Amino acid sequence: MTDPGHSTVGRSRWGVWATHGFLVAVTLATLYPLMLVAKIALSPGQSFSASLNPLPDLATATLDNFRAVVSESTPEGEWLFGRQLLNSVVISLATTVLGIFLATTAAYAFSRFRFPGRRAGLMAFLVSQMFPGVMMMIPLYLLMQHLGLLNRPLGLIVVYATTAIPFCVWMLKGYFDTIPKDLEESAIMDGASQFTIFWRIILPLSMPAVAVTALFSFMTAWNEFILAFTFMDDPRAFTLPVAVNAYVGEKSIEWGKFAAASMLVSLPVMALFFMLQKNLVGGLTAGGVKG
Amino acid sequence: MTQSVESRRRLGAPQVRAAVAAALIFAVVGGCAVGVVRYVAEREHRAALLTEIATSAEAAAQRLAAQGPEAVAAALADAAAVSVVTPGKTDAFGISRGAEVAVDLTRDPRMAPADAEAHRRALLARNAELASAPDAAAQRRFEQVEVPDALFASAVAPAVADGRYLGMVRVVVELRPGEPAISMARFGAAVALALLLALALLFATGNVRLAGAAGGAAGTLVALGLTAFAGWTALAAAGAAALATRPLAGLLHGLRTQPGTYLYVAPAILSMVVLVFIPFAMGVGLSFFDSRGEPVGLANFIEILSPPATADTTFYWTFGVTVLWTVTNVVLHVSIGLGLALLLNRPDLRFKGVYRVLLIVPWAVPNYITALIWKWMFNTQYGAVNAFLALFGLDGVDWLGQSFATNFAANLITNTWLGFPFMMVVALGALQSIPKDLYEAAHIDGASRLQAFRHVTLPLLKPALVPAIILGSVWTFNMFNVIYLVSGGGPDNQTNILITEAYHAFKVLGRSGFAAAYSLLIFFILLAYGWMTNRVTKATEGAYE
Repeated sequence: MTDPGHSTVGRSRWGVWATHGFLVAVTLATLYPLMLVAKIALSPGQSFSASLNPLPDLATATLDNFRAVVSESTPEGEWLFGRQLLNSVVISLATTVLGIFLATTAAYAFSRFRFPGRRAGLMAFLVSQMFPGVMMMIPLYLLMQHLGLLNRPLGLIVVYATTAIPFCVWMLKGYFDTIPKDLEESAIMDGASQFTIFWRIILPLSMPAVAVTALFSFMTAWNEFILAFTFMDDPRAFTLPVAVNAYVGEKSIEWGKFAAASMLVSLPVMALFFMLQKNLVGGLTAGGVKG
Repeated sequence: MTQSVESRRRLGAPQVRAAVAAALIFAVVGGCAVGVVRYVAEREHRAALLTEIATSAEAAAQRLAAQGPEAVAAALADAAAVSVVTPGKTDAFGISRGAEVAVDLTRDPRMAPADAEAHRRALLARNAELASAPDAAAQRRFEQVEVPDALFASAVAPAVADGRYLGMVRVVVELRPGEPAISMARFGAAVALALLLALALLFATGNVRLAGAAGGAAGTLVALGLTAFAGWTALAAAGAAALATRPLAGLLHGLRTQPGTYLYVAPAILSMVVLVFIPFAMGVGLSFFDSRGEPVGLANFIEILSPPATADTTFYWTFGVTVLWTVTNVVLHVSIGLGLALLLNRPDLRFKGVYRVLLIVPWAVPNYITALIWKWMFNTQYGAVNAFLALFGLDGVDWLGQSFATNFAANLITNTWLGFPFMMVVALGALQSIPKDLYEAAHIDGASRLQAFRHVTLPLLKPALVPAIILGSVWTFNMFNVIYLVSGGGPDNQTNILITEAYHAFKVLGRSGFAAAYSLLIFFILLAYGWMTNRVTKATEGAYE
C-alpha cells in the first residue's frame, strides 16, 4: 500500500503489462460478438458458423451478402435498399434537427428562467421516462393513423424527436447551468435580447453538449425498431432496422444477409461515436458533476 | 419564486378561467381515452363476435341433433337457415345479435323475392356440399350476407347424435348495427382516470397538500363510479377543476406577465403533451376495460394482484424477477464500467483513446441486433459460448432450455455487454473532472491509494453516478428487447420481466386492457422508486431543481 498511486513514477513494468493484458482481454471479449457478425457477413451462405474463431476465412471471403443486401429491389424493379437508406437518413437527420430545436430551447428556459410551472414541467419530463412503452404503442398508433402519418417519415420524426426530449433536456440543462451568468449580464448591458443571448452566447458555448444531444437524437432515430415496425407496413417506407428484420424469419434467420445488413446499419452510428467520443465523455456528465 | 406566491394571493377571476380551462383539458383527454377504448374494443370485438357465432352454431346443431335425424333432415330440407336462439342482447356497440327470432334469410321481407330465391338455392347447394365433405375447416367459415339495413353472418356446424353424423346445420345471425353505445359511463370513467393521473403527477411534483385533498374526492368518485356510472362526468369535471385550479391560475398569471419565457418551453411541452402524455392517459383509460370494450372497473388490477391458480407465473414472481434483473444488471454495469474507467483514467496508460473507443462500440449497435446475435451465441449446439466452454473441457450448457437460472444468466450476460459502456463513459467523465491536486494533497497527508479512492474519488463520483444509476435502473427495469429476443421469457414465462409480461398479454393473449393495467402498475412502481430515490439522496436535485 505504499504505491504512490496516480503519479507517473514508480509503477512497475509488470503492472503496466498486466493492465494492458487485462484491457486487451476485455476489449476482445467486447468486440467478439461484432467480429462474429463481420465474419458471417463475409462468409458465403446463410448459416451461422459453429466455430469459435471470429476471423473470416480469407480463402472463401466474399462480399456477396453485402451485394445482395444493397441491391435489394421491389418486384417492379425499384431500388428498395436505396429507398430505405434514404428514409433512414431523412428521418434521422430531421429528428436530430427537430430534437435539438425542442431540447435546447426548453433546456435554456429551464436553466435560466424562474416561472410558474417550471418545477412541474421538469418533473413531468422525469416522470415520462417511466411510462412503459407497451402502454403507449396502441394510442400512438391510433394517433398516427388519425393524423394520416402512418407510412410517412413525418410521423416517426415527430415521435422520435419528442421521446428524446426528456433525456436531452436533462443533459443540456445540466450543461447550461455550468455556464457562468456574468457573460449574459454583460451582454444585457450591451443591449442584447434574450434570444441573442441564447443564440450567440449559450449555444456556441455548449457545443460539446449539443453535439452529444445531436448524437443521441440521431442514434435514437437511426436504431429504433419497434415503432418503425409498427407504423410502417409498406416496404418502401421502411427504415433500415425494419429492413434488417426482413431477414429474420419465423423459424430461421438468413444469417449472411442479416449480418451484412446489420453491419451496414451500425457503421454510420459507430463512425459518429468515434468522431464525437471526446464530447461524449464531457457532455454527458457536466451537469451531474456540478451538483 | 416571488411571482408564483403573488399569483396564489391574487386568486379571483383567474380562478374561474383556470377552472374552465381545467374542465376543458380533462374533457379533451377523456375524449381521447374514450376514442382509443372504442377503437381497440371494436377491432377485437369483431373477432370475438365471429367466434361467438360459431359457438352458437355448434350449440344449435347439437340441440337439433338431440331431436333426432328427422328433425335435422326437416330443418335442412325446409329452411336453408336454422334459427339462432341466443338471448337478445345489445352489446356496447349497439349491435344486437340473434335475439329470439328465427332468422331465415329466404323469408326476410327486406330481401327482394328473386334475391331470396337465389340465396336460398345457394345456401342449399352449400349445405349439400358441406354434407358430403364435412371438413373441420369448413365449420368455421363465415359468410356475410348484405341485406339493406341489416347484416347477417352465418356459420355452420355438424349435427351429431350418438356418434352419427346427421348433416350440417347453418346458423344465421342478424347483426343490427345501431347507435354505438359509447355511454356517459365510459366517458366519465375516462375523465376520472385522467383525474387520477393528474393526482399522481401532483404527488410527484410535491403539491402534497393539494393532492391529499383531491385524493379524497377522487377516491369517492372511483368508489361511486364502480357501482354507478351515472353523473360521473359532472362530478369528475368538477373535481378536476377544483384540483387543477391553483396550478393553472399560477400558469395563466405567468403567461400574462412573462409570455416570452413560455415561448421557449412551448414547443417541447406541446409535443410532449400530444405525443407522450395524451397517449399515456389513453393507456390509463384502457386499463379499466376488457378486450371487448366493456368497462370492468378494477377487475384487471384485481386479476393481476390476486392471480388465478392456473397462471404460469404470478405478478409477484415477475416483480421479483424484475427486481433481481435490475439489481444484478446495475451492479454489474456500474462495477465493470467504474473499474474500466479507473483503469482508463491512469495518466501513464498508453493507447487509452483506442481502448475507450473500442469499449463503447456495444452502445452504438442497435440492441435488437446484438440481442439476436447473443441469442445465437447461446445456442446449445452451434453457439460460441458453449464452444468457448469446451476449450476448458467443460460440458455445453443448454442455456435457453428449461432452466430458469441459465435463461436468466443468458439475458444478464447480454444486457451487461450492452449496458456497461454507458456507465463507463459517465464514470470517465466524472473522473476526468476531479482535480489532480486533490490526490496529491491526499498523498502528502499519507493516504493510501485505497483511502484516496474511498475519500476522494468516490464522493466526487457520486453526483455524476447517482443520476446515471437511477436512469440506468429505470431503463433496465423496462429493458424489453433483451428479454424478449434472448430468452423470450422462457421457460414458461419465468424469466419475463414486468414489461415483457405486459407485452405478452397484449400481443399473444390479445388482452389490451389487462396489458394496460399491467403497464400502469409498472409505472406506479417506477414512480414510487423515483420518489424514494429522490428522498433518500438529494443528489438528483442538481438535475431537477
